[in-house]
Amino acid sequence: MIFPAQEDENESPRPTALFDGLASVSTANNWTSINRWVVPRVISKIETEYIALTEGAALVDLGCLPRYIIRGDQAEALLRRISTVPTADLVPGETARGLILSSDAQVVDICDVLRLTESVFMLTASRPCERRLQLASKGLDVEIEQVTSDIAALALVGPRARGIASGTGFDVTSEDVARQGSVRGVETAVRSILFGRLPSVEIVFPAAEALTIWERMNRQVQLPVAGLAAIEIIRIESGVPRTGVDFTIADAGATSDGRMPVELGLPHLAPLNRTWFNGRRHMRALREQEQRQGRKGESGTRRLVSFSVNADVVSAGASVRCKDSPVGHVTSAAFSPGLRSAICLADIERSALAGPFTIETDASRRCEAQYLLTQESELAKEFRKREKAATESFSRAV
Amino acid sequence: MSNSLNPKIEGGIDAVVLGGGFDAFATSALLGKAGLQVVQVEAGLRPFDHDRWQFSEGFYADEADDLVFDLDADLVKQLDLYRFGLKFARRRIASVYRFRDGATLKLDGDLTVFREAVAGNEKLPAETVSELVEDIMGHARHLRSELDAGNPGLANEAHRHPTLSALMNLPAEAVFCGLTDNTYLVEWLLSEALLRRQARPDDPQSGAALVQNWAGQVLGLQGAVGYPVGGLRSLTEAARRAAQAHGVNFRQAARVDRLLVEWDAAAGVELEDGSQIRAPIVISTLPVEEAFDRHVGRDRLDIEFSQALEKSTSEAVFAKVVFALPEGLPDGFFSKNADQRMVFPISQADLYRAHRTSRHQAPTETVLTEIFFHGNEKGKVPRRGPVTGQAVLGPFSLTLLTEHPEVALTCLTNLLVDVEPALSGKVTGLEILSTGARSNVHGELKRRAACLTGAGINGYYVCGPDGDPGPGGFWTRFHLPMEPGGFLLDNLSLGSGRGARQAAQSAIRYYRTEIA
Repeated sequence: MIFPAQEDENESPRPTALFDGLASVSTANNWTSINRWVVPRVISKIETEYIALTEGAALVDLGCLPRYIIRGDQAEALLRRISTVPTADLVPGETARGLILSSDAQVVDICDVLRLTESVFMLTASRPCERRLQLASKGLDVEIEQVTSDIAALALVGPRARGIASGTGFDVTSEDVARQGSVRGVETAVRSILFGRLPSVEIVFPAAEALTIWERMNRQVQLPVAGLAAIEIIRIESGVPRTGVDFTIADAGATSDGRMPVELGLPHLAPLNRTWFNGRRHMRALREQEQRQGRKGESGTRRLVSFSVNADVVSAGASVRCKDSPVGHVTSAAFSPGLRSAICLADIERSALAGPFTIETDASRRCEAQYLLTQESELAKEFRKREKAATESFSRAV
Repeated sequence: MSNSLNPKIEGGIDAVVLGGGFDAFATSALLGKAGLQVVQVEAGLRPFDHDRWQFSEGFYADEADDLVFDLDADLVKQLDLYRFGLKFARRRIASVYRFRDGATLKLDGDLTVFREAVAGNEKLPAETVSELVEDIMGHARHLRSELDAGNPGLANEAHRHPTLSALMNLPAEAVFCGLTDNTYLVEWLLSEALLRRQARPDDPQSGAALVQNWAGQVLGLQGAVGYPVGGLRSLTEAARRAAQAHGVNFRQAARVDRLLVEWDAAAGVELEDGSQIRAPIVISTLPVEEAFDRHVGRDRLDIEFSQALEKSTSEAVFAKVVFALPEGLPDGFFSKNADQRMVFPISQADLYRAHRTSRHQAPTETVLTEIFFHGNEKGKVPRRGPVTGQAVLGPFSLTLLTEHPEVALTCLTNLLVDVEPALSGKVTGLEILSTGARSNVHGELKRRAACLTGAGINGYYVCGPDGDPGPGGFWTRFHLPMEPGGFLLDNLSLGSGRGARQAAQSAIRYYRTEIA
């Protein structure tokens, strides 16, 4: 689950269902807007929020993420068409992450799908995707309902999230399956999610009852609330790209500077051996073309990689150099209190992956940058290993 | 879905071709000629089993009865269609344009000698008009060469040529009025561009239709109109004979249920009875709705790809009408009109009005009309005795025409009597043969490009009416229940054959590099 790029602050954003609760505990009073919803940038202090997130648990308002309920006999087919989520493999209550790709296999968004029943799903994206859903659903027997403003979504993020959730009555009986229930007469759905590298529990309930649930949580455990800035550090540490920040959104009609999954370090979210999805044929054609040309490796000319930099501050846009030649730029950066160094995601040329790298921290200074092992890079590595083994085993069999 | 106890699975086949029209036979023949084992699957019982019927005592209507506006010369040469019976009754049909005030413009069917044709015509200033026509012809030639190469990108070239830029982007009336202030010329250009088109004269990019229409080539003559002996049926028959000669195996009365796709590559087709014909190449000559939405499945098509296949939903259609003159043509009329195509241009205001009024009420007489007498023998108009003819007229609203087909027939009768009062009461057996209109050029080119990709499925090619948007004889058909014909054959593609040739070439290349 990720937040997309922030917007121009003059957009007169709407308050989320939990805004009053957040405002009552905010001492920093530092807000921004995402998808035209008000989102706290900092609630109290970034470092305190970061420590709460990584060592205990903190509350995060997810009300700004667009959500769609998709019903109908062909709901599964629609989701299979629009995203790379293995919808057919999900059992009711199960959630899976995936990508929304364009026909030329460029990433439009990162999303997740929760199967509620056999024919009802909830799609959570980072940006609104009504138009894409509308185009994709033409001729299919489905009903799509945008429910973002009808619900409140609160995440308990951190290593102690599950325990605290259980203690406050939101029991997650399984790590894989969402549980629907009632807390003080309010219908809730609780599911385990991954927030970057951190285990989390998401609680979804009707917007009208937002403050009832908020007060219950606060009265029982007095949890700290995390704002966007602390979450951003967790995201970069986890190597999760942010829509509109680390990559340009590929969408119909745009002269795309878009990126394919492999270029964003997310090949594991769009495997070619998964059932058909939008853009898969293009990915396969590229792969076959490369094989015919005898080129090893994967498609695309760019790679989004995570670096740890021996400096206090790195700015987005800073030049990345390999043996003195510029090979890319930093797309997002933060100081990680946990790693005690600056960390960043950078978009670099694929041919320069061998390094070594330096990053300009200011006009006159360059600092060494080392690859940072992240959750996504580990998943990608594991995926490549399995894919290679499968190819070799297939070749031997042939 | 299987509804048979023992569905059969057939193998050992290199290519399956779907459809029963000219494109299907031509594709099969080309593949067969290249040495591939080909099976052609048709839904009908036998070719042309539904497209010919008696519409009046002793007179037959023919679905394939149309003029040829474009025929791929390479295809004719590669298949040697003349050896298989193709014969032209008229290699280039002269056209007479009759303006509302009685003025006429006669062209002998060769636009390249337009300058000579208008010399001495006091209504049209020869020098200005010729330069303009030659300029547009140049752009049309360029479009044809791009269509031949399979990569139409004329719009990309537009910024280099002001006239082309205007034609490709502006409404037809704005372009033509901007190019000349001669009203005859404007009306003539409008009729050349918008006859058989959904577009109104004020529709954006409708000027492009003229470039597309003039890009046609019959027997090497650009912008010409031809007529084979026996009508377009004979063209299809010649292609069928070529396919037979090259060892194509035909399966009639077999309906395809779906395309078999394995690892993003075609693996054959499954028929409605559950049996499968397995082959690494499948070429569909059916309309895109069937070729992609039904046979592949809409939920298995890329979203942007589906978008490119979308067609405009305009209600404006032209009616193709057949009629008979049992007593033949009066002598004076015969000598002037028997062997030529008559076109009745109208002003942009009248054309606009026709579009507007056709939505709500019975159309007025101000409709674009093309009349051609082909005789009952399809190709020869007898000096004495019964004569058959066909007319294309519109635009009408499809709904209105379905409910009141008599309005089109009345329009045509009135027009014929206006031209030759002696025909009053002599026209009989009027019947609407089919209705339809072509959509805008940019949309057609976009669909063509999409069709050529076969939705990204290796070994799948689509070259039906939507894959061949040259100025061919086909047009989008709408189902219009009629008696006694009752229905229209909806998979009879009357394209130029260019799409078929390109699909076959791609398939042969794929076969040799990936399969063999």
